[in-house]
Amino acid sequence: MFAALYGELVPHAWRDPESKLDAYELFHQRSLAMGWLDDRNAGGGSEDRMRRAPGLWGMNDAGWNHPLAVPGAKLISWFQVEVSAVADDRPLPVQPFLRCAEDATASAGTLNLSAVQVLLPVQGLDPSSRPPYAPVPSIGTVHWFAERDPRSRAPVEVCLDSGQDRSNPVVAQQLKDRLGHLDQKVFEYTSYDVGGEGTGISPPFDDSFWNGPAAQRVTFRGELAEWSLDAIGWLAEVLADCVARLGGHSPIVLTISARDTRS
Amino acid sequence: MFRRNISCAAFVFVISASAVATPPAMATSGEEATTSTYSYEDAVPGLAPASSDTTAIYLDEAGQPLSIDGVEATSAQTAALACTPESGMDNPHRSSTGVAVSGHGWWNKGDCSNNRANVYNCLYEWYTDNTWRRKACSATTELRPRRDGGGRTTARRNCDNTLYTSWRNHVDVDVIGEWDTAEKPMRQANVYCRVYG
Repeated sequence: MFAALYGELVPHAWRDPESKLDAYELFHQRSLAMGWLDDRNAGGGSEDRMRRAPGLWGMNDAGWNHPLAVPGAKLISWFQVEVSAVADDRPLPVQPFLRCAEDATASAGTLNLSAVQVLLPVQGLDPSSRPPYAPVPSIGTVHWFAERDPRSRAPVEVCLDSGQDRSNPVVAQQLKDRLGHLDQKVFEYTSYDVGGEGTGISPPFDDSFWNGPAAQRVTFRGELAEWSLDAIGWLAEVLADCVARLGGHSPIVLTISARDTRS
Repeated sequence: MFRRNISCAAFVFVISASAVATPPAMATSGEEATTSTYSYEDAVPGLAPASSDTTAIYLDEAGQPLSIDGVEATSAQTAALACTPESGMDNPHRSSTGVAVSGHGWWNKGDCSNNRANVYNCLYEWYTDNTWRRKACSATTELRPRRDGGGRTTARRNCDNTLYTSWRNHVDVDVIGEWDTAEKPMRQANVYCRVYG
């Protein structure tokens, strides 16, 4: 799983710009502190007899800059993890992943987020293993967003791209219907289209890293309960499960951006 | 401490076998191979079976055996005095910054006193003759402990293709001016990256 945060970051005045605590260190520390870092594949030393932590992911990489970022895209930070096997009754852990990403980034500066891009490993979800009480597990936590200030609802654009997997446009209509039938108001769409330009933010990684290049795109426009990485993570988890249930079995690049409705 | 000049060793490890890796375009899943029926020359990279943890050997780039046993302290007395640093590493993984496999290494003091160590990490690819063959090592770098912002080492190797393959990332920490114990920690993961040479 990979996340890229876009927008502006105003560095904390008190922070050493040359600090060795880079995005990798900060994310790793935060993952460890929250108990979400998976340690089970460590071995080979005297600690072999230890009971290892079954976390949500193993650390891969992170940074403030990326050599493949689109110039002008305002990339703030990026994070890459290897997701552990997803439990049958739990969602892909996008919310905790973005929580650590946000916390790591915010420890370097004040974040003004304009877009988030997440590579969702949909192929790691097995819809047939979901129990009847949790076909889309994130729906069970929908009430977390129930008591928000109505004025915090934010217009967003939600773009899913399955790259060279041509099933995405086919499932677009079904995805729209499925979203409409879920008992949730965290994300309410007003329109959608297949193809189009999407957000225009190319993901900062090689095509062979997922199933690129970008091609099969579906874009929803609507309102999110709030412009927060919590809500974005929740929606990403729901979309991943919905796509998997509709037969999607390849990685999806999901880009959620704040939409300026003033014009 | 992970020594370069020692013979094969048995490992016990646990893999998150069904971890969610991202399959790249055009990749085909590697097949979990059986072992011991291939010569060194005929062996090819692949997915390590569970049995490889206890029987595999390590080879350097020239095909010579490596050992991951050994201690820096050479007698029981000095071994008893040895300190234990914390040797850290992440999973071998596909790099997002290129078509490459990558892994990092770092250290913390543990119960050692000194605050400088020579650290390097190496990546090993599994072959069907049940060997782990060294494919890349970082430079040996003098680092402060990670908790003091000491940074990390990076081993990296470009992929020849994106077939699913088993990799290990081993780190070696040698605390400067102090006897330290000979941990040989590693992390293993299957990565959409295969290297032949």
